[in-house]
Amino acid sequence: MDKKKILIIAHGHPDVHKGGAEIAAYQLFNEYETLGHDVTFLARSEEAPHGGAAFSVRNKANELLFHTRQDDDFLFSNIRTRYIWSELRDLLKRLQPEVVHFHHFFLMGIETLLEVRKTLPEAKIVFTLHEYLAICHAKGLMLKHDSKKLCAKSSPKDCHNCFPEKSPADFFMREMYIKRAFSVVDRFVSPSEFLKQRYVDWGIDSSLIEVIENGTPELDEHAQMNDSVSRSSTKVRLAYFGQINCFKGLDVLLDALLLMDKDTRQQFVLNIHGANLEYQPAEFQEKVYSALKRLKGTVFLHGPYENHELPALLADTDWMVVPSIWYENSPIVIQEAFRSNVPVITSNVGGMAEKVTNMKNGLHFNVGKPLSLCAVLEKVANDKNLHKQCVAGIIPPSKLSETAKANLALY
Amino acid sequence: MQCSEEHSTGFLVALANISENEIEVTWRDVTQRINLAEVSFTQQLAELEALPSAYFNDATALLERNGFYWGQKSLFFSDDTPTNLLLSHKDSKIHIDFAFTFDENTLLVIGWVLDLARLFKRINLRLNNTISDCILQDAFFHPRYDVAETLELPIHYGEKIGFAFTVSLPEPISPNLELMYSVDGRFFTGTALKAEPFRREETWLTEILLANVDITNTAKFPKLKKHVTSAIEKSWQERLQAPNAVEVKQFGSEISNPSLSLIVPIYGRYDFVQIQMSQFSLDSDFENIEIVYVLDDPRIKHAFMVTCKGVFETFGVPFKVVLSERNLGYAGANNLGVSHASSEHIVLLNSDVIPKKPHQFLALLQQFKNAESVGILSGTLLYEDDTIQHQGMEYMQDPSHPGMWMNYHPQKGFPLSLIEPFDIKEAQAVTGALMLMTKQQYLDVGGFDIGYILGDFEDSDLCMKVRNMGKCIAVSGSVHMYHLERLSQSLVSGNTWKHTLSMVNGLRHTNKWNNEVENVVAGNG
Repeated sequence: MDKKKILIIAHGHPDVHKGGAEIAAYQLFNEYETLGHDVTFLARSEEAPHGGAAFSVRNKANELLFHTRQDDDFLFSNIRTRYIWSELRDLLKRLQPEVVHFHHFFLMGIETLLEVRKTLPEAKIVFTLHEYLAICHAKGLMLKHDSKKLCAKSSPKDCHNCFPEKSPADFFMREMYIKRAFSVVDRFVSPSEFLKQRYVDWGIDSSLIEVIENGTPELDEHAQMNDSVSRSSTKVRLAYFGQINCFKGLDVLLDALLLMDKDTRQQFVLNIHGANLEYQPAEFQEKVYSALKRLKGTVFLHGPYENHELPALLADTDWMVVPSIWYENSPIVIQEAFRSNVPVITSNVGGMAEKVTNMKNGLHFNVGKPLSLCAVLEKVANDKNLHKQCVAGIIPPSKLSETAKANLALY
Repeated sequence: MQCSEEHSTGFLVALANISENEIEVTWRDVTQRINLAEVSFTQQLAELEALPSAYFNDATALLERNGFYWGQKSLFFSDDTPTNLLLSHKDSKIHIDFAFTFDENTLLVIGWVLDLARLFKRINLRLNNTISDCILQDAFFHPRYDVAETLELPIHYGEKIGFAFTVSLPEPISPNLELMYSVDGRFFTGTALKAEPFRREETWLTEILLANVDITNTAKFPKLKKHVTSAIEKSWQERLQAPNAVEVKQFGSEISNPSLSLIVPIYGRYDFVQIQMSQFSLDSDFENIEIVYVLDDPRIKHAFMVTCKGVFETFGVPFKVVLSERNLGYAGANNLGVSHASSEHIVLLNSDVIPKKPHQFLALLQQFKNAESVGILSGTLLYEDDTIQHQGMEYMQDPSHPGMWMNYHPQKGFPLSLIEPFDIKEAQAVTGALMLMTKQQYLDVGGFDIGYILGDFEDSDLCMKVRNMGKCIAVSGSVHMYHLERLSQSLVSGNTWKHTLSMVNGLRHTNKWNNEVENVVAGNG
């Protein structure tokens, strides 16, 4: 196989922050390394560098941290510091990669794309879109700022309605500026059809965006074995994994359980494996804690988990619930559930609805509606075959090696 | 002193270098001894009650013509003489906030009079041994709600209590002033007041003078001009005419023999440079177009220069930055920029104007060259939703702004698709946001008139000057640019006074060009 000189750029290192995009970028890096490519991982970092240095090393010499921060959070711009057009330029000249694969621009500065094109006119620029930040100023959530209603499409006027302090013209310029930077990209990658479609609606040529699922590492034999021995509970075991915040819909799930009559509820347990509840707005925390109190005996809050613990935790799970109230892109936990043969109950929108097919490998409920989720859960309790049917419908998620191959094909 | 017979209505006694403490004054059969310990000339004399009123009136007039008044006392002026005052008479109050002199010959006094009982009959200034017009009669009065608020009075008490009072004299005005008030119309109480030379920010003065001005009250236009706009102009004139150090910085290599020079003034928001450059960098025509940014906002010099460096390094399009030591206003900044333009043809461009697609500037230049009679050519400017922002301006009288010609943008807000396509067409005037012309013509007509403070109406003024040279004004229907209007001025605090200032400029424009505008509107222009 042709060995390539590849630079992977991400907005964070998963050792520091375990976000889905950071993990996907890093896994791809490791896979390329295994395949023998000359690959460097460059991750933007908030940590203090040595005496103002732009770069430092994490783990090994080809894992670099880039110590910089965007100076304009509206345009994602970083031109007032010299880091992109001076330090990064020098690094690019030294590395001379044939392919630069971006997994983000966030916090680093969107001009990073322009700098790569300027310094390496011949390099192939590939950019995996992991969310909707370029489209939506509301943290890329595509939720109306006040009502938290799902938003289908950005427009200067609608965006101004969400952020009255910014004029429609400001949003117009923001889009113009971001698209200027995107114009240097040769190929885009989207992990879901849904996300691709949002960017096509926004103005990127459909033929430029390839849908490639994020890969999932394969389970080792020990984890597989765990999987086969532990499923023996009389209760329906639900589990929630990941960050806890007001967009992830944990409150919708708790409300659904509260809506059940006591007898039905007693047929369920819910394990919450999630982090960062303590950083959420007080109102949201109160809502969650008050629900937890009322659901004592049914719901157990376990706190964060390490990735290697996940197979074991899933082995004790009948259904994973992904109740996000925003579209999501391609939630990694869904693939992880499928890898462990756990079907998923999820909101009927966006990347979630795309990855989970209703009645095949999981169940849908109406996004943000506890009553709808409650009805789905009651169905699960009443129809014992449903679980078997959905487990049977699970197709194993893409392996990392497959994802890497698909990405390499674009280079 | 004895007055000549035909004007004689009494006697005035002028006392100077008095050595005695007491004198005796006799009028008809009344004799009175006057103590001169207080060194006063008129108060005691007035106690001769038998003075007939006709005599008294004439004597008063004669006194005042010569800078004296009844009740006058000697005032002492020193470095401690206050520059603001609060005088009270029973519950009535006079307050002087500021007394400023400009260019030696002009004095501006800003204050308020709260006089519910209407006790004050006259309030005057005594300056250079002359007595001014009565402030109550002559000054420009406007609301001062802040005063009512501070004094914890109902807010409507603030109506019409604030005043601005401007006096111009042919000779230099002494800073030693006397503020005089009279409750009976004749006898005054005087207090020493010192005027300071105006050294503050012009925008500060402009803002406080215009904060509560009702610009729709045409009856008050003469007083507005006499007391308010004249003072504003004076305050700016000094700055605009003072020497201004200019620094020029070139980013990238200078373009030799450019076909066009863009002049872009920057005030407040400078992120537009980033947006403009992000688009210019997609346009190969910029190999031949010189860009001159004029930073008209010294407060942001450092941040602006840092941004410029980043913008150049990122987008690679060369440009020139002209840094003005002082804020010159929109007109002054453009004039400065043009003086640094090296091409025969210039485009005056706002920083929030962004071409819809590449090659728009050279297309505009070509259209200009093809139309010999055209003196200024602008383009079609669009909002971000592709509706018309500008396709030429028309003069219009607007009931909301009586007494002045407004610049109306016909078809503003129309979708572009509703406009019949055209190449170029004549317009009554065009916006300064995008104007292409020869540099020579701009210089020949004296550039933008800097008397339009901060901006507005100087563009239509320039169009008038070019019309006067026998050229016509035109707009392109095929050159399209986005104009993200008004954003660049959003940093100016509050909108009310800024709007009023615009209207003040409108008034100035109307006074200057009324006849010509009428001709243009009648189709004879």
